Amino acid sequence: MTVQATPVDAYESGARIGLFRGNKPIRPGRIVMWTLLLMGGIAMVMPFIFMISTSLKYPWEIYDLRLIPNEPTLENYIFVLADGRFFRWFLNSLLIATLTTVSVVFFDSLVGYVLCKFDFRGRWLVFIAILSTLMIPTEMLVIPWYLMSQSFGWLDTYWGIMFPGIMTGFGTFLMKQFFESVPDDFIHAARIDGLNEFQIWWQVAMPLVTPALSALAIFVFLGNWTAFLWPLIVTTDTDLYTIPVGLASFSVEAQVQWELIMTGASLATIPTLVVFLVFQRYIIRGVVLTGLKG
Amino acid sequence: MATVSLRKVVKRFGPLTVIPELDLEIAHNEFVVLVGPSGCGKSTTLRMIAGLEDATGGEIRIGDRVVNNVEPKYRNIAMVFQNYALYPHMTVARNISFGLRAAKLPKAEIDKKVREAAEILGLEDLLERRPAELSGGQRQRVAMGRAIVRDPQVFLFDEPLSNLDAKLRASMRVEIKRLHQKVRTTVIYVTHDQVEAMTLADRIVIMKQGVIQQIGSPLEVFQKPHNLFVATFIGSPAMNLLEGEIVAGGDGPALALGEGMVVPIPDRPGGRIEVGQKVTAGLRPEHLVADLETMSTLPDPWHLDATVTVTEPLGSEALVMLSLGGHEVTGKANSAAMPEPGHPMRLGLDLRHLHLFDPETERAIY
Ligand SMILES: Nc1ncnc2c1ncn2[C@@H]1O[C@H](COP(=O)(O)OP(=O)(O)OP(=O)(O)O)[C@@H](O)[C@H]1O
Ligand SMILES: [Mg+2]
Repeated sequence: MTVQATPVDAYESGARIGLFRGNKPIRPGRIVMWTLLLMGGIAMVMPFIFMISTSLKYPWEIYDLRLIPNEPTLENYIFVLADGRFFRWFLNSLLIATLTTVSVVFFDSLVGYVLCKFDFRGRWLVFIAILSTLMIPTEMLVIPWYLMSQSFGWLDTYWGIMFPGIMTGFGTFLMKQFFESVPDDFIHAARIDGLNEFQIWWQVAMPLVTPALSALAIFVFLGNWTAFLWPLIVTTDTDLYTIPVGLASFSVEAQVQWELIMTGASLATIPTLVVFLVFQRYIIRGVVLTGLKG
Repeated sequence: MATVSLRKVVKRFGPLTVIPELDLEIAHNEFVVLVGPSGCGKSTTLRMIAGLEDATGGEIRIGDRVVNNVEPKYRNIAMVFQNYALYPHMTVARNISFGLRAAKLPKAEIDKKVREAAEILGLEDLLERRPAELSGGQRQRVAMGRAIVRDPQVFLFDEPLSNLDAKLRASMRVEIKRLHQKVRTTVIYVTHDQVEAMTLADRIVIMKQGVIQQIGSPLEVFQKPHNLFVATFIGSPAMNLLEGEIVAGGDGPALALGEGMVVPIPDRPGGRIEVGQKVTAGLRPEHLVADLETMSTLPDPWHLDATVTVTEPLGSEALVMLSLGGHEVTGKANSAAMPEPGHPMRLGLDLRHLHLFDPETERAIY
């Protein structure tokens, strides 16, 4: 078995990276490493803390760079939430990111499974074609997408925002690699049990790769939640804005009201946290699944 | 009637020919064991019968139906895999009933079958557990339960016990045998453990590089191996092989084993030996006897002198490595009268069990 780690493995790898070191002496090398990691950690968390701190300040206080506001206030939150537009953008983002995630997880794993477990003529050609789409940067695709949306009448529609992302080459590749870790005997057993190929994929293979599915879901959701360039280009109707596009428009129209932008951004992080916390559980649960011997 | 017959079955993976041509007829309710070294095509053969691999050529019949183009689920077979392949995300009960639910059987009937299978296999208390919470032997039983509830005409086992420790393997072996007596069906069982083969099989099929070397009852293949491969593959410790030559003896042909050692060859109908012929002689360790009582039953010319090199006590008996006229051979001795290494030892060869093989063709000639 390759990927399916047992809890023991998890414990052992934890021990290896120093989580359960007990009373062993701490070497100087470790202190240097921890210091570096700590600095890196602070550098990562600071903007986030600053964002929240700013969202709790009155406008006259925002250029005072202290972390704890002198007069903390929730007025910005009340203002932003009372403004119907923000709520609308939030729902737009939620809808688009959710649908895209469901679609990517479904189709990418379906294609990945077929590429991995079925031997057919041209399989490698298909796989390489899918891989090669990873080499093309989004910026290059935006103009063709736009022209395409224009001629199909997809400008200013949800579908127009979503369609480039409903399947990804990366996800297909990832899922194909993960299905390699599913032993063929599960599939053979299911075939003898009388399931059709679609049922085998859905009922047997998919539950065995939940860690990969969760990882993919997190990636895709976050990617779509924060997507900016394409949603900005394809929408002109403010009702169809996603959160990032909406927040950007805030800064233009409201003459850079930082406290409001930061409030919106703070609210916008909530779903990403929820998604991460929910799916992270599945990643861990998936890792302890084991049905083969030992 | 669930006979299984393979006629001129060929299997190729691209340029690699795994099964050149295989013919095998298996009778109704027979327990057939396929044995052979790793990579000889046992699993491939089994999977072709199951329908998990397509045969490149030839015909596979189950009962009186050609099944080459029949899907696995319609072949009336059930298979137990080496690694059990239990679905890790389902409970034992759901694992066992998975196929029945897929076939949309009424719930009451599914429950009844699961209960029956659980009872046969002693799984009643484990039905709500997941595979990860079971021991190796319990997983093994669940895998068999999943096979039983299908009411198959043919059971296919691919090394079902090879992941268990020796003790558990012995007890599961008995259980499989009991199961076969209870649920009378045809069984095709792959293993490379010859103890399993000998104890379970009605007939053993010995394969090498995709070619059947011999088919016969356990006793037959043990006592009358058709060739050198079968002779050395079956039996543990392996048969002793000695290069020699047929010479003319006092009354009839004799076997010269080098260093002046000559033993008479007892008369046996069907032997095709000629004086001057080079041969490979085979004698199993249990037929090199050292205890005086047994030796006294053997004629004098069958007694030889050897030197003990190494001894391996096994408990009730011991294996003794001997140097016999320049050949290294293994014998069995009573551990009470264990000889010391380096000492000479008088040895009786039970030549009634002598085998002679043609060194060129490796076929048995006597
Ligand atoms: N899908 C496949 N593609 C290519 N070659 C294969 C495939 N499956 C099996 N083989 C080859 O066929 C040969 C026989 O394999 P098989 O699994 O039947 O051996 P086996 O007798 O069951 O061995 P073991 O005792 O190790 O299980 C091996 O040389 C193997 O490499
Ligand atoms: Mg095998």
